[in-house]
Amino acid sequence: MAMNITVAITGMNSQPDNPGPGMAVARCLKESSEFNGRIVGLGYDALDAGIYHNEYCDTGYLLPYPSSENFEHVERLKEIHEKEGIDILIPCLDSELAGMVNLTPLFEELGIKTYLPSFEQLVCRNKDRLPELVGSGKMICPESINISSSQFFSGCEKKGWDYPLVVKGVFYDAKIVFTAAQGIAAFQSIAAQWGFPVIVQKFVAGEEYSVTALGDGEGNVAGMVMMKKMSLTEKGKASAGISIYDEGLLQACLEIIKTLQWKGPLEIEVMRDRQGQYHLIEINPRFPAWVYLTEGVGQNLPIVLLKLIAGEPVSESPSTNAGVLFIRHAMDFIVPIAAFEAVAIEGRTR
Amino acid sequence: MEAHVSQTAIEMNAQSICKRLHIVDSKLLQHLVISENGFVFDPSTGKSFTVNETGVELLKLFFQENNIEAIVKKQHKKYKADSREIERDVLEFANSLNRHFYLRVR
Repeated sequence: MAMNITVAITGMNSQPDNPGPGMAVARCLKESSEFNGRIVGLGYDALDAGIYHNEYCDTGYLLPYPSSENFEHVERLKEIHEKEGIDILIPCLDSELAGMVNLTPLFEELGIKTYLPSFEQLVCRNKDRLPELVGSGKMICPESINISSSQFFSGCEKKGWDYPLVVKGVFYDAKIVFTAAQGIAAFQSIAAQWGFPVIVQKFVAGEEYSVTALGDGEGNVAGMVMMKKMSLTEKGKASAGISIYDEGLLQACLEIIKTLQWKGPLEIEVMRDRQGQYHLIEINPRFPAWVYLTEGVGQNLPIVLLKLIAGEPVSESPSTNAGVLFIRHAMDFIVPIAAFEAVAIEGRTR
Repeated sequence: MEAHVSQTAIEMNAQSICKRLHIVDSKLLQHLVISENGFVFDPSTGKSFTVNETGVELLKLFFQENNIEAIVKKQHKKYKADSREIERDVLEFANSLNRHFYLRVR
């Protein structure tokens, strides 16, 4: 059944080293024969490439940054909804998820459908809660600690925190540090960009894997795709990857989703060590930027999400289609000054 | 006869290999996908590499036979080369499989 609806999608930033997932989600929808609706791209910056991309976004708007007063954000969303008649909203950025979850009652009131986890579920997958989440399950989790001072790095070895360590922002960014000086520099840069707490995690050597799935909120999954990262950007984001199917990883991820009773899209990032043990690194509460691979393996998860929201029966088993690659590339997109002006002045594309 | 693996990150330690490796667990190799032109892919880990003609031949032998001595005998019979040299090559190749695919080679 063709879906003739208006879907608003955030995360339209597209810097080559760390693109948001929004454009990939829009592409999954637009390229599906099951979707003939409209996409409203929602960006936070006039240079977010996705909002200008007519092939994927029928129109684009700017939102105030999530750190702004919540009411500005709400008023802007209401204004966009009045103009565009949004049926479904798919938030794609970690930093906005908590705010969006809190706004769910308002969205319902406005007639905008979402498919999001509860606030409690969101908190349970916070980076500092992961060891508790995995418990004695199939996956293990490297020890991590929240810090609020760079003094931690001076003498941390004496407390069992040997280098290398991974320094992480509360929402984004991760740097591997080998010395106290590097640790302090990473702490300062991450705290300045993402605020506190800064998270320090013990380093796990191995290969990086990533899994994206859709939870139905009752412990089941409505589709899952597993991927091995083949190449990373300087920011540690996968710039190439290959789909895999591993029963061990599948079971470990199913266990986590069941424990969380997760509702909505998510990405589970893991390391596989030389013994084949999977270590849970983080859980992101949204589709990943590589979500177009799900279309590539024949399991278009953004389309499955729309079906779930529509209450259609979904019976997607985890994908077993291994050996499909994605290779990300940067491409210059030409934007006439009038289009940029409209976004800069009016906060919307023409 | 020298089986060749294209990725060069493999460091060999012949003595420890000889002590450690006697049998290749062919069950663990069964899920590998090998094309005739030597592209080897493990669908469960996403790892891949290319092997030369001899590598393809050895992999096929590993699928059927999990005893390195028997493999060496077969290859000796076929190539009439020095058995110790064949054994070294086979063990090196088995070890490179282990390293690339995290196979537990016994």
